[in-house]
Amino acid sequence: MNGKRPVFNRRSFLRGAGTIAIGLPFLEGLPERSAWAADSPPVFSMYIVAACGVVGNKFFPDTTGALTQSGLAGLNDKAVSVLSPHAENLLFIKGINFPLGGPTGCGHAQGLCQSLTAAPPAGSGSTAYSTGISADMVVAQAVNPNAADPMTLYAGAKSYIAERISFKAGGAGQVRAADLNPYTLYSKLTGLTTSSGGTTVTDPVAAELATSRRSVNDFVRAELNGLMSNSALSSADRQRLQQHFDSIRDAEVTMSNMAASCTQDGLSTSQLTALKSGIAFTTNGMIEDVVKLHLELVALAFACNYNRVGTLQWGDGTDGTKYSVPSNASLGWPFHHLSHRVDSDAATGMNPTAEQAHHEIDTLRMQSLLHGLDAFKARGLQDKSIIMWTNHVADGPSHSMSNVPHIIWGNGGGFLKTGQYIDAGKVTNNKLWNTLITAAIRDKSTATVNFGMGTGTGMISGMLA
Amino acid sequence: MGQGTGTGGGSGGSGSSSGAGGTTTTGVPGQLNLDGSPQYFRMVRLTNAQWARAVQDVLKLPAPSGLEQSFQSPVIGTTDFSNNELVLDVNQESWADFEQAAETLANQVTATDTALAQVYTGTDPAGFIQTMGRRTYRRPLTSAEQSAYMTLYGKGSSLSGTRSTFAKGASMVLRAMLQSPNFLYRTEMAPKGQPLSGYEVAAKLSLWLRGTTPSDSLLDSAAGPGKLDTADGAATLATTMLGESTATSVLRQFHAELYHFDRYAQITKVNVPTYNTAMNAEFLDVSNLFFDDIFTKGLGLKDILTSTKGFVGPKIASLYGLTPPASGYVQQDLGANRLGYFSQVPFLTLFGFNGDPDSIHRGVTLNLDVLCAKLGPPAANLPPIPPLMPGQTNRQRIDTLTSSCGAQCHNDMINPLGFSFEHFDGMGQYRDTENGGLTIDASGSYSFTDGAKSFSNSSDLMNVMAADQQTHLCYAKKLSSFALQRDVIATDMPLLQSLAQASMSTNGSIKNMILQLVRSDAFRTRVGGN
Repeated sequence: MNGKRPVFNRRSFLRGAGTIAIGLPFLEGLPERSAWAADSPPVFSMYIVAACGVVGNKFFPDTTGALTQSGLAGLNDKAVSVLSPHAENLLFIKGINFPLGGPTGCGHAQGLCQSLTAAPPAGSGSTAYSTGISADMVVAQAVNPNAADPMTLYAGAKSYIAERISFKAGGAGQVRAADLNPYTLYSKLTGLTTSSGGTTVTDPVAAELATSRRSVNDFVRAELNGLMSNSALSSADRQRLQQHFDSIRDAEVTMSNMAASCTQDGLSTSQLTALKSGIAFTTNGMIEDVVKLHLELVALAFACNYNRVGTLQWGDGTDGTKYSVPSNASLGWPFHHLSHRVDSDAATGMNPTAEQAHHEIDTLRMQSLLHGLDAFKARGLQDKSIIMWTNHVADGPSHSMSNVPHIIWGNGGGFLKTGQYIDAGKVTNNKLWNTLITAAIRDKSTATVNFGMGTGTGMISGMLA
Repeated sequence: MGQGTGTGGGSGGSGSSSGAGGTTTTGVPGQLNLDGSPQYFRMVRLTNAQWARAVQDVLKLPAPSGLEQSFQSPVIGTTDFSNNELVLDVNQESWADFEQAAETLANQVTATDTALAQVYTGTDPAGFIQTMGRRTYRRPLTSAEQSAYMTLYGKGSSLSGTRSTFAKGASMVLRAMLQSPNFLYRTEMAPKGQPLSGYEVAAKLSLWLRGTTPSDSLLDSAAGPGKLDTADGAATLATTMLGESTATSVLRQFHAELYHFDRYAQITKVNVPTYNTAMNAEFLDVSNLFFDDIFTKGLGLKDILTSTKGFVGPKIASLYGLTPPASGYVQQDLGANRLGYFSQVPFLTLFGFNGDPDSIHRGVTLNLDVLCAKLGPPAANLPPIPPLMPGQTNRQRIDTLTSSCGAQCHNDMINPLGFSFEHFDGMGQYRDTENGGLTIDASGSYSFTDGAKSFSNSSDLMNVMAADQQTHLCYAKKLSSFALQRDVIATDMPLLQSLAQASMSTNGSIKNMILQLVRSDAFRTRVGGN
């Protein structure tokens, strides 16, 4: 938010009012603030950031304009063609730049740091970090009951540059950890669902579990309060314990807000349960399967109102996945090197087979995204969701942070235009985020969102319905 | 670009460095990177591995629960080690992990009275709370805590279900204990500058060197002043722990993170007939065995750098020119050309560009991980490594490619160290000549913190480094960071110098370094923060 106009945050308000230190029970008598009018359904937001850029001239259609199923399906040489079944729910955007025009040093981490923050990064190389909070956190604080943290997911093996898209705030050490194994979210969701739909919270046993859980949580909160009152603790210690304290409450509220219609239908349950132990989810060749599973689960999480915001980092900043696409058969290079068009870290390779392999990987990744969009659509989320896909650089060889492709699925409750390919006009992504945050929080009375840093203010008018 | 290791590397670090051979105003030798942001937390969350071992021991589980495998893992890459205080917090995700696991385990061990008897033989609530409270809090409960748990026991015992009243109450108590901040965090509540309590030292040593919470007997011995709260008491306990197999596992984790063993699983080679992916697992195993051997035999950094003994398995022995064992791994003398871990096949293959030596990555790794040199990130828009031309050595190729780089990156820092391994190709195989009989030049010179030193090849370099203070200061920094679970910075220089001195001594060993570290104020007293 860059300190300009913070989105209203209930937790911050309560802290400011000094209510955090009151004795137990805590907050029980206070009504939950809704970010929506009573008759407005929630908007769910999923922000996806993929790695290593795309092949620019083989990704989007050549011209802007309306998107139709038949038109998109006919663009066989474009990676996004595979998304044609969702043409009417899609918004393609070109002409969006990151605040830092180009990399200083290795740009992979720098790109990741800017993708959801619209803030130029500090540092460089693998240690680059954001100078601002990320949009997922801003939206989650506004729309999740009690400002619960967003779901934070990661696909692929962690290598040189792992989690770098979701930030609690600006500064080193503020990056948020992600869940790599889809089974983790699966186990949390399925503990609350039945195979035929409906939550188990009305079950007497589950109700008693919830009651006993409250007793334990109250006990732990009292201990945390006692520790926080210890004068020997530093402010950093207190902040850490406060986060712990808040997390308990967030989890409670999340549980109590589970929707009545959760069903495991459509989940790849056998694949998910196979990941219960071991580290198969990080092995080479698994990344696209993990992406699909993550997206299936996010769709379920949204349908169950488990959480209203999520992020997915799709590969390490220097992704080492050795994709089995046809043109990589003769090369056998990791994706990072393919994106550079040379089998090294160099930025100026020109291998045409590598470029073709990159395009094939782009298409494969769009097929994985299609799988996820199918899952979202199957749960009826197209009119109350914003699924955004982007990349941390525009393309591999140049690491350009200009004209980074963005794909949006869902109209965010009728706020966003769909069925179009638009040119944003070389704007920085703070305007994109102003638009998406506004669409997500739907709390128009709180005035203009002014997120991140960049050139200009306001929203991208072409994105609005 | 990636790996921070490409050509065209950035400039060296900035700030307080005065350059090679100099000393800064903070007493830090120039080029030694002691940047960081320690918070000196008084409460440091258990790592997932520590949590797993702790719950197994607290609940006397016959086998590991495995529950931690689905826990949120800490962010890596932003700190030296994954146990750094900065990346161990409790957020909503990890809280849900701990909550769910606590409920699962509590229900498991109280499912029947027989199962519960494995945890606690009596059936008295007060005794149960007292016993389990001390195990989980790693100190005796206060009377207020005991009373609060009795209240919670009462709530639990009144729940519905077929379990006994005692089992239901015990379940509720265990759920709370396993979610208590007093269990999830290791605490240091001593006044600033004062020694940690005996219980705090017991927990700190046990969680570090045993990877688990203190045993009942260790807690017995921790009670009262004049025992573990003294340097001698702490060192005596540490000496015992260093002889246990768990310490070997802990030091294995330290070296694996320090030297990035996780990358072995990701090795790929193109058009290299001598490579197959099945070797990756063997690279990891023999590397672990090498460091296990160094540690358990009371050896130290000098041996890591200069030992000619290494382990080989069926798949990689031939790369050394040795006869493969029929099965398993055997320790062999790898020859005078291979001094230390960095001259062994796993490291050289990891940092090999298909069949060719990856001189740049080898040089960068030694700078960052062995010498703690201040090395900037690689520059943008790196050029590719060109094909090797007839009549050209790999060194000449890389020299040409990086010739425009300033003195603070390739020319003076990266290339000299990387070129010393030119006798080893991308599979770590020794070669006398290259590219059709060309003579290999593996010589170089490097400006260590105490001045420039020359070497003729990698073996020579390893001997130089084994006798050089910067190498030992760097290892001391890494070991301290791992032990103290925080960034180590310039104000820690007195500690690092004492550890480096111990490491450089005639019988310098990792164990002796650890004992010296345990005796230090940095380990035993409340340092930093409030």
